Amino acid sequence: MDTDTDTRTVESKTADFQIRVEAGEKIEASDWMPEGYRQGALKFIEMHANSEIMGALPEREWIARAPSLRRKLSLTAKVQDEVGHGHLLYRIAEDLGKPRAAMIEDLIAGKTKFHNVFHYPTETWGDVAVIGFLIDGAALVTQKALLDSSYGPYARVLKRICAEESLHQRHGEDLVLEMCAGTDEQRAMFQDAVNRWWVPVMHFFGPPSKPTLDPLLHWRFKTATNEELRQRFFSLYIPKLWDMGITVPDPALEYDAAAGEWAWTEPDWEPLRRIARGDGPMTETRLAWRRWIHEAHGWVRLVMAEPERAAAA
Amino acid sequence: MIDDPRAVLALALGDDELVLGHRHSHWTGVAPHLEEDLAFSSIAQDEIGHAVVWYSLAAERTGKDIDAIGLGRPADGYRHAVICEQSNGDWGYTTARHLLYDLAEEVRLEVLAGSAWRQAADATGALRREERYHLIHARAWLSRLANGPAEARARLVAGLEEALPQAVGLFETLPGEEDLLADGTLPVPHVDQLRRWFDVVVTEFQPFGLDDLVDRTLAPASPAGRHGQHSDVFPELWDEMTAMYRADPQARW
Amino acid sequence: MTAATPAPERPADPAEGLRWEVFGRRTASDDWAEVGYLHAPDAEMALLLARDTFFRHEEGVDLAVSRGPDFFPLGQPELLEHATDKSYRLQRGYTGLGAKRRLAAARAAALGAVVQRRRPPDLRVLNEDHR
Repeated sequence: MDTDTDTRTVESKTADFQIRVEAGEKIEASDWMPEGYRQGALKFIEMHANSEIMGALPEREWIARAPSLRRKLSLTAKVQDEVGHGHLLYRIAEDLGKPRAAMIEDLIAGKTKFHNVFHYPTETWGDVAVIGFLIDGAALVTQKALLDSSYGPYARVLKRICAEESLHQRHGEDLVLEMCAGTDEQRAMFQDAVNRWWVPVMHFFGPPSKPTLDPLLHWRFKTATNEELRQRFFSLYIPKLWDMGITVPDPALEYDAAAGEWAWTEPDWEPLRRIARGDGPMTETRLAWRRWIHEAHGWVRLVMAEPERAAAA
Repeated sequence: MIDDPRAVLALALGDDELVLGHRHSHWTGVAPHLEEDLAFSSIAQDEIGHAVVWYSLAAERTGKDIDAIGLGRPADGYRHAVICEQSNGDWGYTTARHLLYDLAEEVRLEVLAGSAWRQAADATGALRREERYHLIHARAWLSRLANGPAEARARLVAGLEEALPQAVGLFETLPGEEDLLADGTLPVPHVDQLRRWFDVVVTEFQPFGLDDLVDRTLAPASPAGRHGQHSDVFPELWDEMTAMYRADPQARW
Repeated sequence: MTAATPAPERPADPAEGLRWEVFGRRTASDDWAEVGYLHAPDAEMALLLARDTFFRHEEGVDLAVSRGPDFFPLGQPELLEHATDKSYRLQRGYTGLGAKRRLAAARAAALGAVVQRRRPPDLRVLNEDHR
């Protein structure tokens, strides 16, 4: 659509846009889009990018402490991939109209958000296994649903991200399986981590949402509701945990065949609201550290902003 | 206690790689530039992977497994040069150390390519292929900092002033070196490798007017890292790196 | 892969350097295909950084960067090869999970710890590998 000569009203263009996305067409960065779609897509992708950069912080603490050389390597590579995902996602968000430097500055100033699970401390190698298996698993469920997003650039970059994330999830399962087939202490370490992370994982999927009130679902940017994703997660991961003799701290969690879905206990949502206000257990510590790093590296950014001097010499 | 000089050589080389790789890996997630974070993380992974190669050679001779060798020794059992254990400091020191270390690698791997210890000679091929990228990367940062804004050059110079005296420790004479020279395992003694390294470093630095930083009278202190003697930053590094393994060496992770 | 949407030209971000399109060839007989972009101050740095930004997982045998009409191939495709074991970051490093699942299940069974609560049927369909 040639936007320069398109003189239709915004309402008319919006209606046509809705027809396009409902027909499964992909929207590209240079297409006309309702301002709400642009801002909603930007905010969603920006939060995803932020989450990759902030998620690197708890996990990288364990590179130094990994219990074997192979895990030292694999954890380094995993965190590297997360930084890479941040890079890929910032560029998709950038094409919606906000420079990468501005997004990074807003993140560390506490003005934009990142996923709840990265506001918590990691305490043991069991936490590394939970992050790799359950949290990456939850992220993968969410991201696979977004492969059908109406926003073409996001859907395309998610193919690479999902491929790398599925490797992370297998790696996470590998960590879990070694612990659960291992010593009593290893099993207990993993069970303890599951007990501490269960509620944050439930928070990750968000409260049961009202699909009709979600503009991103309306525009097919998202294609599944919070509840559909949570149910899929239960089906993929709970039987695996149970087969390893690992419980989750929800006495109601069980599959109800008559209802065709898992029954579960809604957690207290207040900790999630506090995180959304910037008040999670590790929020300020991690953002403060990122601010310090950003400040300390200012002189290197100047170097990276200039072409090589004396290059012709 | 040097009943196996070849094992000592493999450990010294492996420990340099592991301890420096450990420090390099600390930049993953917090480097000054997103794309550079990715590049430097691969360099860190390469170094740790190279440690595994050298430890495999030590494993064949000692009967221990790679993790027991890499993560199971007491602090004074590690034979890395002290430059490897230093904290990352700022990007100026990190660049300085990365450059000086990878130039030392270029010298010593070329020497070991002619080793009479065939497995060691064979190992150098793969390592040198991966080190090519490390040197291109280090040189790119050397020139951008040396020719960059005033603060960049100042931080590079400060980093080099700190790292140069530490780097000569990479050429400390090994315990048992006389046996390694006698049977051709080590074709060139470390004292001569040091002279070659000085030549290489001066050549790298001249275009940037940095060669007057190089003091060729510097010699490695001994006994130092090759004898298990380390600086006061190593105990904390050693504990962080090895605690989980040592808590249960039989556990599988 | 669909044709990449031409990115709107934007001035150099003073904190980030210039934007460079990155191209790769999957195999020696493929043509150049765009794989994404990165920020770098100049072509040399862009070429140096492109390797680990887009080719960490054996995605191709050669790379190039481009800005406007200028196109710069890496010129040393051997830099994309890995000479030591990188299986820890590749799918082929994690092929033995089935056997490990059986071991973990056996350990749970021996402890009497397998959780006997109701789960959905048709687990084989749901438990497909993510990719």
